[in-house]
Amino acid sequence: MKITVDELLPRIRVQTEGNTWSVIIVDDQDLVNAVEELAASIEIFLECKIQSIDVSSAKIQFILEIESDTDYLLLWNFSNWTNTDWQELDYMRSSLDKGKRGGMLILSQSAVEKMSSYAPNFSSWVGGRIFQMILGAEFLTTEESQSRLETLREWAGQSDMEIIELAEAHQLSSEPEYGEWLILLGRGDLIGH
Amino acid sequence: MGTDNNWIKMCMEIESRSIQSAQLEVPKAKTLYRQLLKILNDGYDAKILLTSQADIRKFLKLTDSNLQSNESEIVGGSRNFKRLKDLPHFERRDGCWFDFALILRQNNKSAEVVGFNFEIRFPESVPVKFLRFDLNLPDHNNEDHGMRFHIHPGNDDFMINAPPMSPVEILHLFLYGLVIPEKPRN
Repeated sequence: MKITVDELLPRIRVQTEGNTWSVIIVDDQDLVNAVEELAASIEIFLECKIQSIDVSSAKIQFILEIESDTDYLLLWNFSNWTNTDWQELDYMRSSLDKGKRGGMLILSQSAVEKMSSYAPNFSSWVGGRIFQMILGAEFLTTEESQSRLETLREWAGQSDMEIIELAEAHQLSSEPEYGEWLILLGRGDLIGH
Repeated sequence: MGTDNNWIKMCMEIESRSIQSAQLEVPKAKTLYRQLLKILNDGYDAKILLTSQADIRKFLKLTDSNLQSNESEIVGGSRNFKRLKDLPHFERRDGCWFDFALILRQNNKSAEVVGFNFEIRFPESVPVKFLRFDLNLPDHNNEDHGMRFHIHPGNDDFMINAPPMSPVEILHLFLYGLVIPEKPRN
């Protein structure tokens, strides 16, 4: 199932108690960005202590790195995990139950396949909570930006060029609407110019 | 009625106090975006907000941070100069409805909110039609005469010096304050 960060957050929030785990699938090039985004967002939404652990070096020993006051775990960077590493995780899965909220594994598609094959019990524990992450859905689309620009042009009765010229001449009004206008034109640098 | 220099001076002093005490700094625009998303979701869960969670996600957006610009915008609902209710907005169960837009500038370590409009509109039965909280953009020409933070009390032409409320605080006010009285005073 494909899901955006903002769709995922309310789902995690309703899993208020219990050791609930999810798997998030991301493309390799998006891994670091996705981890940062998820850690920051979950911390805001759950209002709890998040710990993000890169499991590439310590491997299964990451369990020793879990801080006692952590409420929610983000485990990532499984790319070098061998079949044996996954089998060990499967065997030690109960060690992940810290009596808190649980956590998520952030994996590439190939790592998910390894997890399914070599950590079948953990996979069963995760159940249907496997999501393909869509990043960037929170950004205004080009169409939405153009629509807002059109509204601003109609409201002010001025063109984009007039607004830029006024801003460059330090003559543009300081009303926030003009700031939006400049940002949507890619000229936010002229704000307060 | 003209402007009085003493009054302008007082406004400058009020604004200086406001700017100093206002909480306009956030780690990143995305952080504030997610805080606002949470507040709106909380409002829905608390049965204050009628707008669905899917629509909240649809109406709350920000400009792409990958555009190599230090300035960004968070928008909540459409620009709605004519106050048309068929444009995207957030709506409370009591019929009040609102939208907002915020301008941020990313500095080295944090982002600063440098401008915003937050406007709430009331149902027909309420004598006041709307309230708008504005933070005008920084202006080195000082054309605002100390009115950078201001409220429009149901009229686009009148401005009142506003308290230094942060976007998070104004959004809370829109959700949990401004309760329509069962028995209006007059």
